[in-house]
Order: sequence, then structure tokens, then C-alpha cells
Amino acid sequence: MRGVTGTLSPEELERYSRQIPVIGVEGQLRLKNSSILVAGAGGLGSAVLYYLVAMGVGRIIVIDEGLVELSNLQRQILYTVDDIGRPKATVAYHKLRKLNPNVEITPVHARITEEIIDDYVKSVDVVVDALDNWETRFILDKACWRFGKPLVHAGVGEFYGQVTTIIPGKTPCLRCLFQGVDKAEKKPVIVMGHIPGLLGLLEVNEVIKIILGVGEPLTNKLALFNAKTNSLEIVEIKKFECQVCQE
Amino acid sequence: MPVKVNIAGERKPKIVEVSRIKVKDLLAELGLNPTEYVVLKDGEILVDDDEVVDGEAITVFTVKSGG
Repeated sequence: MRGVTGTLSPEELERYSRQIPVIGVEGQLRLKNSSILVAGAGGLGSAVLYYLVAMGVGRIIVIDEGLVELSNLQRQILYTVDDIGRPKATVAYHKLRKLNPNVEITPVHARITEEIIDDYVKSVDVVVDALDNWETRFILDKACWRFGKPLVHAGVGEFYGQVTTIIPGKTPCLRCLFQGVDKAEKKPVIVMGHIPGLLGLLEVNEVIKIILGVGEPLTNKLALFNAKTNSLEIVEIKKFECQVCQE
Repeated sequence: MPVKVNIAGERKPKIVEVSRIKVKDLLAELGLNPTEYVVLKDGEILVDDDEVVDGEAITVFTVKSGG
């Protein structure tokens, strides 16, 4: 993570005036000096991107290969009917620039592969998994492991979701945490519209804690959210074995 | 003593009357798809062929893949 450098303009001081009393100008500068890769601009990604941009992180790279579809609009709040058929990354860029022009946003309309992901991962401070399939998640996970970057993971379905933060060298990687999942499985996301919003904001909370160095990120802990019972159960991971992160 | 299975989100644990069972067989016994669940024993992640014996308690939780 980069140190605290630079200054805030009068516009930024006013824009962030409701959170600067909480984190100080130094904290706001930490956000401004941070860079985040958001992998996926769907349900989770919409919430993650909106808030990270609104709160004033410095630089965001958003990668998504998808085009906006009608069935996305139930949960992907960055998009409207006018955007159907357009690349999500590009639409997200234009919407978010209007929200906060202080944030440098790089849209990448591409599929995440081992060939392209390294350059993006190594250029940021924190990576957010806002993806919808395990095959791509594990490509991202490996890249984060190679470059020692924190990876904030979430997954959603129906009324449920999970969140955790992977810190290479300190926690299990995503692959060993979820080694039983079917990597090849790709099926439509079945989820209530508000659930990616809730879990996406828990991801934002993880990113903010990592950047500011406050609180306790969910390292070696899985937060399991059940919207039906309003429960957030924290499961602790104490021991693990893996061929990816313990090679 | 049986194996006690705490399923995340459910109030009461399930009791499985076995003396020794592989994780994959235990999940099958409970009607749970092994590709959608993670199993923990004392904070340790268990895999399909790991065994659980009577008197032990495990936690099982579902993993969601959507985004």
C-alpha cells in the first residue's frame, strides 16, 4: 500500500466532509492514493464500484467481458434499459465518472484469462472478486497469490452469500478454501436482487479496512450471510492444506 | 456417540448415527451436494475423503457462486 501523499482540493474536502471526521484527512488521502481492481461489473460489482468511487479511492480498474442484458437490471444497479447491448465496463466507466470525476477509472472490456490478468493485478493495492463463476475466480486467485495482493471474495445465491478476505501468506487461498466446488460449473445466477448489493457492500467494507488499516478484516474468517434470518455467522478457518498456496 | 453436524443457518444440529464416515458419504447421507458445501472440523477444512468419527462435531456451510 502506498503512503499518504498529496493534498485534497476544496471540492474534495467538501465532497468527503461526512467521512473525513471519521477517518481524518490522512485517511481520505490513503483512499485517494489507493488503487483497486474490481473483477466483474455485475450485481456485486455494481455495488462495489458505486461505493468505492463515491468514497474517493484514487484509481479503479474494472474488468468485465459482458454486455448489459435485460435480466441484469433486477440487481445490477449501474445499468438502465438504455444500456442494453452495451459493454458493462464501458457503461460503468461513463456512469461512475459522473459520480466522482476525481477517481481515475480504467474500463477493460475483456474476459479474465491467465494471459491478461497479471498486469492488472500487479498494478493495484487490493483486488475485489465480484465474479460469478469459479473458473475465473481461481485464475484471479492464483494471480493475487503470485503478486501478494489481498483478494476480497464474495459469492451470492438466493437469499444467501459469503465474504472473506484472502491475504497471501496469511490465509488459505480461495482454491484451498473452496476446493470442493465445481470449477467448470456455469449456470445463470439465481439470486434475489438486493443480495449482491448487501454482500457487495460487505466487500467494500473489507477494502476500506485494508486500505485504512482499521478494524479487523475477515482474514481466516468466512462471513456467511443469511438474509432470511438476518444472521451474519462468522466461521473461523484455523488449518488448511493446499497445492496452490503451499507449493 | 454419533457425529453432530452443525449446518450454518439452521438452528438445530443434525445427528448422524455412524461410528466412522467419509465426508463425501456424510454429505450424501444429509442430501447435500459436495460441490456446494464446505466442511470444517475444529476450524480445519475437510475434503471428500477425510473421515469423521463418532463423538466429533463438524460445521457444514453452503457456498454461493453468483456475483
